[in-house]
Amino acid sequence: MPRQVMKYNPAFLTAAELIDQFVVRQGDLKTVLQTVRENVTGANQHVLVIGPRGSGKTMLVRRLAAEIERDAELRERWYPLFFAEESYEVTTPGEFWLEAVFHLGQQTKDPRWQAKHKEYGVQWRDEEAMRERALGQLTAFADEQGKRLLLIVENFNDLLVNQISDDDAWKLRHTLQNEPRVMVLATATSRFEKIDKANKAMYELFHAHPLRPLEQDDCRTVWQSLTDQLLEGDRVRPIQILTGGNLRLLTILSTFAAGLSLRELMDDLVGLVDDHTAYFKSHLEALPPFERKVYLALAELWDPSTAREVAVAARMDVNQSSSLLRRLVERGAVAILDKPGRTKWYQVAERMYNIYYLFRRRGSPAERVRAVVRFMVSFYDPDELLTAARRIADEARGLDSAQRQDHYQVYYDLVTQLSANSLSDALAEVAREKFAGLDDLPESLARIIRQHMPVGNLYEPCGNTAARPGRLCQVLVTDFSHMLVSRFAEAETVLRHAVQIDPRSATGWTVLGLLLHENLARFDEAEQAYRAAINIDPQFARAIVALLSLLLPQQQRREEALRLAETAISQSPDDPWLLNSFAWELFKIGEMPLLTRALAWARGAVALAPETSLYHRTLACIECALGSPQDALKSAQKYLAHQNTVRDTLDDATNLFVELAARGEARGALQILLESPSRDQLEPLLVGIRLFLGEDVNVAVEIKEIGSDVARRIEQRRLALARTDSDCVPLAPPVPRAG
Amino acid sequence: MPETSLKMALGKWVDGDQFWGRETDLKIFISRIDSGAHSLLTAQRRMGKTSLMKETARQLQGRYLCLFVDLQKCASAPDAVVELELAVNPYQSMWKKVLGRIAENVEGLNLGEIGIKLRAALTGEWQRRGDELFAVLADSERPVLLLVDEAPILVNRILKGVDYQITPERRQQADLFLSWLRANSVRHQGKIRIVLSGSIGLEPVLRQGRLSASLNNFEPFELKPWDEETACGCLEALAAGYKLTFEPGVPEKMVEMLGCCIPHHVQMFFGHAHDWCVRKERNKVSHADVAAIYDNELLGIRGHAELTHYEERLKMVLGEEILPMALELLTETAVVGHLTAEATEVISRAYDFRTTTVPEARREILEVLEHDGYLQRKEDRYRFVSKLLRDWWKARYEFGYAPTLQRGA
Repeated sequence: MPRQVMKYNPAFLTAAELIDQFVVRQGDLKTVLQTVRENVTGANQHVLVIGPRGSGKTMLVRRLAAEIERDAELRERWYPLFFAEESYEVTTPGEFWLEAVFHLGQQTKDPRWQAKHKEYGVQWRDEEAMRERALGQLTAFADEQGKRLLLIVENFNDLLVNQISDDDAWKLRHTLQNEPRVMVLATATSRFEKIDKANKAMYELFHAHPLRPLEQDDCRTVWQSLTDQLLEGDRVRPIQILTGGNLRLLTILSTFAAGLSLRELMDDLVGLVDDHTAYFKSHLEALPPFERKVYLALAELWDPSTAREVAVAARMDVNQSSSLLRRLVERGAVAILDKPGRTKWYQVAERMYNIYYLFRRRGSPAERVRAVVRFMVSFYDPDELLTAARRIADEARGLDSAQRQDHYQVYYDLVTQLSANSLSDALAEVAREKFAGLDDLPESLARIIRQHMPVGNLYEPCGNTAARPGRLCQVLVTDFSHMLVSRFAEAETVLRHAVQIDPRSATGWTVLGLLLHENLARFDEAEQAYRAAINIDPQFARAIVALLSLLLPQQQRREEALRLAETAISQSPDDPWLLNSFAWELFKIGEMPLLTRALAWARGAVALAPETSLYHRTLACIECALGSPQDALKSAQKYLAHQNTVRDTLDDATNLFVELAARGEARGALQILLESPSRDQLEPLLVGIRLFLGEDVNVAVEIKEIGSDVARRIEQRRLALARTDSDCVPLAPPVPRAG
Repeated sequence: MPETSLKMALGKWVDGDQFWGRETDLKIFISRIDSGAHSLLTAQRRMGKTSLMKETARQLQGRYLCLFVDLQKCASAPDAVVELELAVNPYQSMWKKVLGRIAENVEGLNLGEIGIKLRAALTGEWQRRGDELFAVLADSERPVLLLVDEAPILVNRILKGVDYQITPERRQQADLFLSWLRANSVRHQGKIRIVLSGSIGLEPVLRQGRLSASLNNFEPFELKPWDEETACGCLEALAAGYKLTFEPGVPEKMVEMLGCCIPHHVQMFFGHAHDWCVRKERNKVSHADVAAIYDNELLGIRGHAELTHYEERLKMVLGEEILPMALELLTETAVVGHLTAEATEVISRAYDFRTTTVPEARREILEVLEHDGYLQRKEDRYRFVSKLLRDWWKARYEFGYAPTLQRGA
């Protein structure tokens, strides 16, 4: 059962809940606890936990306090005393100790301390008296308890930077250095000048413990603890990238996204953050106007940027932007990248807010981030596309017009992202029927659906099934909806019923075959269904291609499959779609003898329809697999010329260019990408190749993360190729699609 | 496995069995104290000055009456006198003398509150009260060792006030305080030893206030970085303290990477290694680990902060006009690995100054760079003392810099 979580404020959790929910950062807890345990001498080591908002600082310090309560030895020696999350009233060391007395009163509920707080507060004009008295009371309490006080102070950078003067900081330091009964465990959103500069009081006084972004395994652990959903392998990677490994953002995402597919999650990103607009807006509204302007300019740039670049974007003087950026860094809203060199590179600290902001912008910033999201989905989990398409189509049917516009857009994106194959055709067909009669269907989606139905328009006005054969189409569509939600058994029942009603429907038999083949793995029956379709229409290309795809993986039936293909080609020698489809099926098997034949077919398809970029895709992949990367580059160039095709086949483009780069054509591949109209859609791929080539790439951290994974994949493939003798090594086959 | 184990102490002073690696310094320091000298303990921050004083007090407490006074919360000379008085608290008979007339009113008060009463009672001349205090101390059966930490902070505060402006009145106040201190150090020579120390250097403060002669009877005692053997020993002892082990040669490699073994840097390097092991759930540190830690942690964002501090120190000492030449000389040294006379000459040619000559500026720069521990001269060339500082500097300035040998005529 997914747990109830308090998204923003761990202070509301009980100790038991804290311990239970503290599933990561065990190493950080151990390190800080160790420092607490070692404070037994005349001087205490104070600790400053540093991390951006949402990284888990509050959770960590509260968990530590819970551990002190739980551990007998620590409980005997330490008394944790919590300050409020913000200590706006503190502007002097005296007020700092007075605040501690106040919280002692709150925590102990002892009226003594509340009275003392009041008594000392009226002495505010005599700062020294107030300081000494308040501190004296605290140390007296410590003596009474026989313990040391552990003051837990959050947003310590605010306190020191904005509230306590440089001079007063030395007075605070005096106590922290010399009073063994007081230890401070503080948190800050970033490093700041007052701990980094040697002429400042707090220089190196605190042991600064940075909270690093969560690694993949930790993200997976958090996700599972919140949703009971295990994201295996790379499936957690997009979530890690989008949230920047930030605990709070992971938690937010999980409460909304539990049970959703990745694709749904990505597509619903705007909706997701809209639900949490209060959270995102609140910190934006808290910024003074000019800081906000600079912050938003930086968000729009998305890439790490210099003060000068931000100044241009924000339309202000560079000195002003520089100063405002410095303030934003001190707030923790902006981070400085750890890069060599003197130039400072800034980026929005909370990455997901940056993405949220970009999604909501019009024009190229939004397009860019959408393109990256699309790339991510295809790169990390293409299987999800299919599952999401099914669900989303089903959902759309049940909504009213105003609500389903986004679904249309999403469905359009999804259908066009699947590689051209019979299943995507079937889904397009389903969409036509599912959206049939809906007068708000966008023309773009209608056109795509028609393009995926080259064998003829199966759509007919509905009527009595028995009397009107076209009714079969509607029945098919309705039945197909069961497939969309993985009710395969029901889908089979209905499809069998459909072909019973109209045994002459080649489409019906083909769709049944697809269900049996790709969803149910009942290959013999699937073959029968395909052959039934072919018997009805010997030139029904969809069925022939589907049968080929079933037979080819079976070694002993390969010849049969090839004969089938040859026969079909001989009957339709000028059908480039057929040639291309056959070539692609052979390519997917990835064995050398087949590739040679596939090459001929692919070339044939291109010769017949040179303007069809999809066919150039097939040719490029085969040429590359055959060890002719130079030829593949030329074909790839033509493939990339059509953005829609690339958008439909993102994973194929990625695999192709990874292979080209691994085979020593990284520079050529990069050049093609840079010059192609599809470069924006493939930005992470481009970045990946540049990283592989050892270039330093200055780009949004999310894109760079994906690019790093691309580069890693190229290197892995390169090593795999190097381990074999032949140049003609089968390509790593395309990622198989789930049925 | 070393017999000693240590715990990390990144921001706090240490004494007793946690005090490491200053046996020789301690010996010399104590012998100077025994000779009756007053000392000005100098070193850059995080070198271990406070720890040295604390350990000295611990070792000498049988032979001396040791008073440790921290002046960093004091804003004025009267505050300093009160702080000195409070330091007497552990010694009851003297304490009673110090409390004097207000003794009957302090029952049940903590030390801080007593300090407030003492401050309130300081209505007359603070020098007189201070002199009385010194007289009480000098009257003690045992010699007194007065360890005064953060005196430069106080002097700086008196000199500049809250608005950081040096006025004639403030200079006079600072001069009064220092003169009073000096007078008592002379008056009670042999009975009272005074050690002054601080996080910021006293010399620059005195120079700014044109007060340099005020404490010329205090002998400088400089605390230098550890030698390699001491640093390696510290690393081994820290590892023992946390049940970690090093691959053979790792401590030596760490020390080599640091170049200059400032105790804090040694501890910091170990701290990162320890955190690394906790995160990776390992208890052995390898050579590869150390290289990664050096590159990712020590040369990272922290490096920028440290380097800015070094740059600012230079700016403070050299001034804005000749600073660019100093930066270029350091960059040449960082990028090339050393600085030759020829390179210095080439670099100098590009500069012209209003307030000084180029040769004079060059001389001053090289003196400061050598004296302040940036560079060391070996044979006919300069090199960075600290490899870490060199790597930081190189990472920051290398891009776009053309070494002199690559420049045209």
